[in-house]
Amino acid sequence: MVTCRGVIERLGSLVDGKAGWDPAASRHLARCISCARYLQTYRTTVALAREVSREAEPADPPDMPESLVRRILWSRRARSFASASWRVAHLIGVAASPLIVFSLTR
Amino acid sequence: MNVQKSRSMAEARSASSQWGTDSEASQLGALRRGEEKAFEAMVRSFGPRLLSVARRFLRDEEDARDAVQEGFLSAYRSIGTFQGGSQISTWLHRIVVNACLMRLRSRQRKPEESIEELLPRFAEDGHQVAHPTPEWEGSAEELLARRETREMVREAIDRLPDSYRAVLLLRDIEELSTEEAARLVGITENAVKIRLHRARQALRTLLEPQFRRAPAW
Repeated sequence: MVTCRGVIERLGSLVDGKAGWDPAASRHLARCISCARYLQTYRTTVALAREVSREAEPADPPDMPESLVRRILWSRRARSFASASWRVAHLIGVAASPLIVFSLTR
Repeated sequence: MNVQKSRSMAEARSASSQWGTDSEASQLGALRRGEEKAFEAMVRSFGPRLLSVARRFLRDEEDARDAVQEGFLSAYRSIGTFQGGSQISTWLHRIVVNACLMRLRSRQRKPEESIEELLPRFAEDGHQVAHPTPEWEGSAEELLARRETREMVREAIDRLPDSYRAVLLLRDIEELSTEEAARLVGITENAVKIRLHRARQALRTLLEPQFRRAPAW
């Protein structure tokens, strides 16, 4: 026999329409008012979470703080500069290595 | 000071409108060539929406800003690998969600609040302990018609422990598949299903005192 625990533990499959929902659980829901209300309020919860989060993302969101824009642009410049400096240092190293080897072997 | 401010606002408007007017292909070309104006236009166009996504995941304003910054820098580094199969907004969205999840993972080294007390309890015979479950005052649409509902729901989502909130956001809000959510969070698909169900149950418990119908005496 399917119990309240058995039904409530599988509600996710029912709400998401996934396979794995037991027809015996549907029969339990038809006669257990507590589980039927639990299912109804579980569905309401999912709908509320979806709707509220959608509203939190308006079609035209407010501007980003200017300080953050500046911070991102600055860190990109710093990264470009670091990567260019590393390339220059690498080239100098490559160019200088024969001289270093020559001076060490003399 | 005001002149400087109005100049930077004008620059901002010009940079952000540029993304809208130029074709995405030409903007991508400019980004790949490392043109700063194109990068700025991308930050100004997509930043606000990405910041609201990061706020949902991280709750802390400074953490959310850091995640957006990391996301844009990561996009800058890997723009060469962007195939153009999806829109750049979708690609950036995914990068920022990833940056948020990385931050959540690093937070989880600290012990997380237990969710057990927010889950339904059952007697040994498998029946609910709180019997019967109270009815709520209306459907989602009816509850949303009240001014205070949105704030209550947002606050309740924010009260969920990070690992549960992340899965709820990925599956129910971002509408990712179980497989994608599992890959992003680094857990199995079955663990995602269990965590999502528990997160919804916990959220339901947190909302119940606000929305339960008062008993008729």
